[in-house]
Amino acid sequence: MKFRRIFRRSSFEPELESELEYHLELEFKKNLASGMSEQEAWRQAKIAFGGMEGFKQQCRELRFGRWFDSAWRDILYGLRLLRKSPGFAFVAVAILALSIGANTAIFSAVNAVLLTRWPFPHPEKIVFVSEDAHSQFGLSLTSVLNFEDYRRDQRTFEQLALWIGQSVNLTGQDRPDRLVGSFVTTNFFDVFGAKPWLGRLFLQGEDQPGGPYIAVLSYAAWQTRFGGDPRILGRQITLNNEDYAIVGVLPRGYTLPFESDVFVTAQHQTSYHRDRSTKEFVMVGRIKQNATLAEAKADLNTIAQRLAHDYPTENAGIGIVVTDFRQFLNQSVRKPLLVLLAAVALVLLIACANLANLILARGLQRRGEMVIRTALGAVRLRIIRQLVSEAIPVAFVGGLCGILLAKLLLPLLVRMAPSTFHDINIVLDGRVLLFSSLLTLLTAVLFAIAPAVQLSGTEGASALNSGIRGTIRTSTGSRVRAAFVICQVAMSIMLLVGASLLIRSFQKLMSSDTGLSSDNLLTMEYRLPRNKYTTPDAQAVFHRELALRVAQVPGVVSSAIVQCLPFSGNWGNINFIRGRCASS
Amino acid sequence: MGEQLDLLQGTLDLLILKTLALEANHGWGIAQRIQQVSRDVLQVGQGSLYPALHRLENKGLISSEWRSSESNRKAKYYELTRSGRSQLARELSEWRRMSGAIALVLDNA
Repeated sequence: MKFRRIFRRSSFEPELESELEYHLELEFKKNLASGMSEQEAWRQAKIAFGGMEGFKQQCRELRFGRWFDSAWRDILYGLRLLRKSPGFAFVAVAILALSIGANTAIFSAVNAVLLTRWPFPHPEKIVFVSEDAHSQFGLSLTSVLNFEDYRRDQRTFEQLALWIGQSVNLTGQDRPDRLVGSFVTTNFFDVFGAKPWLGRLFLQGEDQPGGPYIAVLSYAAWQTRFGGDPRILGRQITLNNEDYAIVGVLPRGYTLPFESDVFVTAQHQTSYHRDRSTKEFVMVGRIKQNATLAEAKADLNTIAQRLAHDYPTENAGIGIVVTDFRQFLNQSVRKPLLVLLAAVALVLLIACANLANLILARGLQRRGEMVIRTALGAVRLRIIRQLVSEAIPVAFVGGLCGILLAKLLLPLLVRMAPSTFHDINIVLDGRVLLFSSLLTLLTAVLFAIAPAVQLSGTEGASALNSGIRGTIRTSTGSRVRAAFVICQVAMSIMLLVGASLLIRSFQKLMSSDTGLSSDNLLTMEYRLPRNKYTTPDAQAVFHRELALRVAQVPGVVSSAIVQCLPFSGNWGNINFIRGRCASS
Repeated sequence: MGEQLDLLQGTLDLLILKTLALEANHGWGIAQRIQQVSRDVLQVGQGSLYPALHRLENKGLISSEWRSSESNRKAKYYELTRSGRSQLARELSEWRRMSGAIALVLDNA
């Protein structure tokens, strides 16, 4: 009921006026009736009434919703002032748009990468297990038999599974394609608590040699590669020249945790061997609810020690490292992103200081106005509130432009970022917009408050006396402005130095002599299906043919085949056998 | 004058509520009635009356309505709401309790 009164604002004043007039009339009539002359009656009535404005103001202040009223009035006043100085408005909006836009863009990256909510239950219990204590990335490959020992003897894990990602050739569709494949043990999905969206996932025993040729699709792959075929279950697809039947589809959003299109049981992986020397898989697991990372590490380490002792040739020097999987995925990008966030926040602070300075300069011209307001009874807090409210339209428009700018530039930024970012969906979602709006509000308060406090502390009557148009002492004003400038310069220099250092490092990296020239070089990856090219000789023939045919393509100067491309992040073993060339 | 005003403010609310308990009335009517019934002792000034009325309306204890009055002019009439009635009963009993206690002290202490 009370809230309706906010909207009946326009009727409040005339109503109050009318009510008080009526009272006055009746008082007048009463005086007439008691025998006073008309003139006297009016005078007495007015005296009894007292100062109307006084308690009219009291009534006004009691009115519910007056706060909104005055704040709204201030904002409108601010808009009028802005319209009178379009130059300032343009500069202010431009400054704000750039800084808020930058913050929004970087925060959306941070949001997508570091703040994602994984759809798995208790993601903190999911870990990568590495057998190499000294490996750079906290990850190393394990052999199948080692894994089975770990799985059998461990006591701290709910699930321990194997995973490896490899591209698979998809043929038999309208055109051949390479899918991102994952070769996993049957309990892999249990590590992530994934339930099938369609069909089923893998059952125990299906990952042993001789197991069925079945596959599980990701939701995205089902939609894009297979057109969301409603009869996808049971459909046969040809991967690496072998036929697999699709038995299930994962729910939307399960990227588990690498963007995999199709999941196949481990024994179908091209290098699957049941021994201890072929290390082709990554171990991933879910720790028990009441176990810690340290306990899991110790548990597996005892098994590792035993394996090192029993099989010294293959397992020499193994040591267990257990890493939280989210940490592992984010480790390379976490620090740079946070540094960027800090840098862009500094830019915003610089913008705030800049704007505060501008507003202060403008406000000093309004000194006279402030003095009059104070004389009319405005409390200091009220003036501060007014000045902050005036800043809100600027901040609002600036923030809006900033968000638009971020939306426009975001695709560009993503493309310039390292390729790890390309797979992640960086968008301006609800959380980012909320962040932006809050940031805008905070910015408004920040850049308005210092000048507001400055301007509301008037020298009172002396300023009026000295003539409002005359020069007003701005000694305190100039100190504050100097402080702003100093802060800005300091922060700008910090940013400039940091940026130039980064650019130098990047330059050095780019120009360092790698020993090879990458001009006009095109690379391509391919995989041969093992059942079509079974012998090394057959494979060698294919490679040679391919190299020859590619060399004959117009525009190609020369071509070659290599197993591991330099700087591709791949590594492999090359076996040299005296007297023969080996390839795989 | 300040403290007296505070005491009178709370009491004024009580007087207004009681006056409206009988029938709805406009501001001037309420002031006249209080003056009459108190035999001219309590004269409510407009400066305290109207703010009090607005305060009571904000609290939801009275509601207002524009009606045409005796002189065929539109006037704002106030009447007691249901919560106003229960508030009145509460304040009356509280007032009686307080004044009784004060009387005891003044008579016997």
